[in-house]
Amino acid sequence: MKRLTACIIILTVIAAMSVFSVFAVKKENDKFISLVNAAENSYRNDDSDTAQRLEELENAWNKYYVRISYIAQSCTLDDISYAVAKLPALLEKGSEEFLSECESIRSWTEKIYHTQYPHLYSVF
Amino acid sequence: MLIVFFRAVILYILIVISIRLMGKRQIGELQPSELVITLLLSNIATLPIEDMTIPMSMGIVPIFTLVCLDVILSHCSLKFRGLRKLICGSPKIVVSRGIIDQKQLKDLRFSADDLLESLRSMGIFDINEVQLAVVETTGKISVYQKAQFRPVNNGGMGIKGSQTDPPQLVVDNGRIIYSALGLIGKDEKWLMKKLGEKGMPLKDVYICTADPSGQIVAIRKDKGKKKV
Repeated sequence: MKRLTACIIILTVIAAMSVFSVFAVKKENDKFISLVNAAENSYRNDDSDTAQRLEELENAWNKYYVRISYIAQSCTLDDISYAVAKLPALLEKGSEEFLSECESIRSWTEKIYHTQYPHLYSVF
Repeated sequence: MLIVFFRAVILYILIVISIRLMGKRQIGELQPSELVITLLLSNIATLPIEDMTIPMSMGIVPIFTLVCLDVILSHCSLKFRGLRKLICGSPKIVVSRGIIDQKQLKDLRFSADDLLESLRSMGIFDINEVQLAVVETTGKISVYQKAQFRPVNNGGMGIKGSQTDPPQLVVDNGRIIYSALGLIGKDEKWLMKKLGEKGMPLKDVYICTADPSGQIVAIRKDKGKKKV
């Protein structure tokens, strides 16, 4: 009976943590994507604080990476890391690629959430 | 490399815990569902060790989910016979009154060779000796021999033996096993007295067995196989 109780508790904890992880990814994603949008808008408007926004984005990414690496495969996170690392150089050059990299970061980040969300197609 | 090492250690501990959680039955005889779980566990555990891009949670979550589901399901199957039949199947009679049920053997995909091999492993070389043979849910064949071929036992001979439990290991390498002493209804004081009678201090005892009637056998440490 003790074993059964332990198993029910473990299973409940796992199920709760799995549900929580989906919400956690969603929350982290929203926060990070808003920073990507802010940096992108700032670049589009030629604002003087683009570099500062970018720094905020990089800091946020470092935290995001650590939190999400417990859940998501690191290869997807590594792709985003490369794109984030490119941004300061692209900003310095004033390259249009800055915007496309921001778009890539956004879509990869969204992909992380969608791979964690139990859609019917991803379950089966 | 260090990450792989840590992951291997963690997963090893988790698998040991999982197997313990599944219970002793898992180690001895596997039911179909348990065999599936065992195969899956070994496969899942290797993934996060081999592939560093996969987070540990991808190994831990399925391992515990499968084990917990198995334990819950096996508890449910204890309560509901229908569920047990569905999960584990039911024993099938392949030889009845000495006659082989060829259809059943075919359904089970057992060849005559398989049947004879199983019989031989039980020391039965002639199919005529078999009264009843059953293929258990684990795939093992149990055999009930015809009366004239069954070994003679005390009951058959009308001998009434004493109903005592076998001896228990009460001292292992100088340490008293209190649970074993409890099983034979004795205590530490009794054991020390018995060892004293044999002139053997506890620290010098390699192993000591005792039975409920009070008989003890003690073997001294590092003195070969000398019996006292």
